[in-house]
Amino acid sequence: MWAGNLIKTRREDVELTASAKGVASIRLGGITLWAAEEKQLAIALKELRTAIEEVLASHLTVAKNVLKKLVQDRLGGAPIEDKVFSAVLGWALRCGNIDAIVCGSKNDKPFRVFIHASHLPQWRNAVEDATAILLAKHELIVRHLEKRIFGARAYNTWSSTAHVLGYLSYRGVAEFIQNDTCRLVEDLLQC
Amino acid sequence: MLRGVLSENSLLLTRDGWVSCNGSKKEITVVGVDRHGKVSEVNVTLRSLGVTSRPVFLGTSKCCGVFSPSTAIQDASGHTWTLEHIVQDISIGELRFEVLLYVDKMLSRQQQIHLLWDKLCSEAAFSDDTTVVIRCRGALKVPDNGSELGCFIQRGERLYFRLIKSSLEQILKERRERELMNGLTQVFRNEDGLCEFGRNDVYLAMTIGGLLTADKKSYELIYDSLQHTSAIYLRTPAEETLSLGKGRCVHVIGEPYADWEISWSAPSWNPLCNGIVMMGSRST
Repeated sequence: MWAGNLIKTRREDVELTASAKGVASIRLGGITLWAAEEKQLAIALKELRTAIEEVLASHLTVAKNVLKKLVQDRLGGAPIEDKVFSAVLGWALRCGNIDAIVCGSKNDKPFRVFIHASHLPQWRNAVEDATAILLAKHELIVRHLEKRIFGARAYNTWSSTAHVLGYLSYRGVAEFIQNDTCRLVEDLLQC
Repeated sequence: MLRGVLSENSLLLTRDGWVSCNGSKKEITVVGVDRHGKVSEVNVTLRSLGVTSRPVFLGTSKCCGVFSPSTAIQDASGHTWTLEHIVQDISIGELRFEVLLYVDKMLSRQQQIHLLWDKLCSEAAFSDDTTVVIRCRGALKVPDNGSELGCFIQRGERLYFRLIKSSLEQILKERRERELMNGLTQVFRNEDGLCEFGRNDVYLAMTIGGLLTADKKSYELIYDSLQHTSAIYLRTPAEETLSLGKGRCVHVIGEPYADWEISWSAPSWNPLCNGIVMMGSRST
């Protein structure tokens, strides 16, 4: 079981359990994380960061809420405070093993998904494939692209495929006409 | 001879604007500063080192860019840091940098057309040899005053901007830089009033920063909180009056890029890399 429940975002929450020597802290981005001991803090942070990277290594892309759930499951199911998760996710991003990509939702609002750096070539190939199909056929259904990218279906493959189309939507190449269907935006070069 | 290491996408300042290592000639004249802080130009030699490393993105309130982890830069207090050290051990908010994005009497940007065109194409939804169509970041309707740089196209709730290469060439030839700046800021401005660039669009962000500086307008660069740096935002006018570039963001980029060497013989001079003074080391 992950010892993450010992990490707090408020100093006073750890002072009661801390030794007389004081509490341990680390500042990640704009958030300070506190624990009763340095060793406790270091181990819990390393475990959380490793879990984030391992989850992302198992999928092409993952949205933040899903990533948090999968990481929680991997670490034994105990809830992880949002601020703690965001701080460690930011730390992992800073180290470069994972990256963030902006996509457009079906309502055309931007949102971020996360990807392991080792999957970036596969992501680019998927984007190129999807673009080529859209240019040729003018419409693309998630299920068709999913089969092309992943072969067999698995957990999160539909979502990752939707992220590829969401990226093309964000860029303006395509637009969602249904939850699972994207259409090419046409005739802009020749206007 | 002094030598330093850059990443292939690091930007060097020349009289014609920004150039990247991998897109420039092997021998070029770049802008830098001498030991007294005086701006001057010196001939430098660039060569690929034949090795790759995962570069480091550094963002300040005035400039941003990609460096090799081995690049050594100087902060405003005169201290030298490698990017590797900054990203691993330093709280970026504590660093300040002298920044230079523009020099007086810059030559026509006409020679920049190819680089600028390439960058606009990489940002475009659609492009061919003569036209780019970029999705505007946030505007929901065509701006009243339009743009001399190109035309806006409304598609449902989306706005696109269509730019013809010959129009861009004409604007650059006639040095109508204010029109270039106004056109680009309209295209990239989002619904919060900030110009929004992807992390791969450093060149566009730095070019607009340079144009604003030349036009004596203030601006500042801001980034996603918690280093979720898939975007660079440019706010003009700046909310905070900053003469120095305040460190705001640093992270390693996941994919490796080629390292390049920059060398020069002027003994008390240092080039600007992504707008920040970089340091060389002596070698035989």
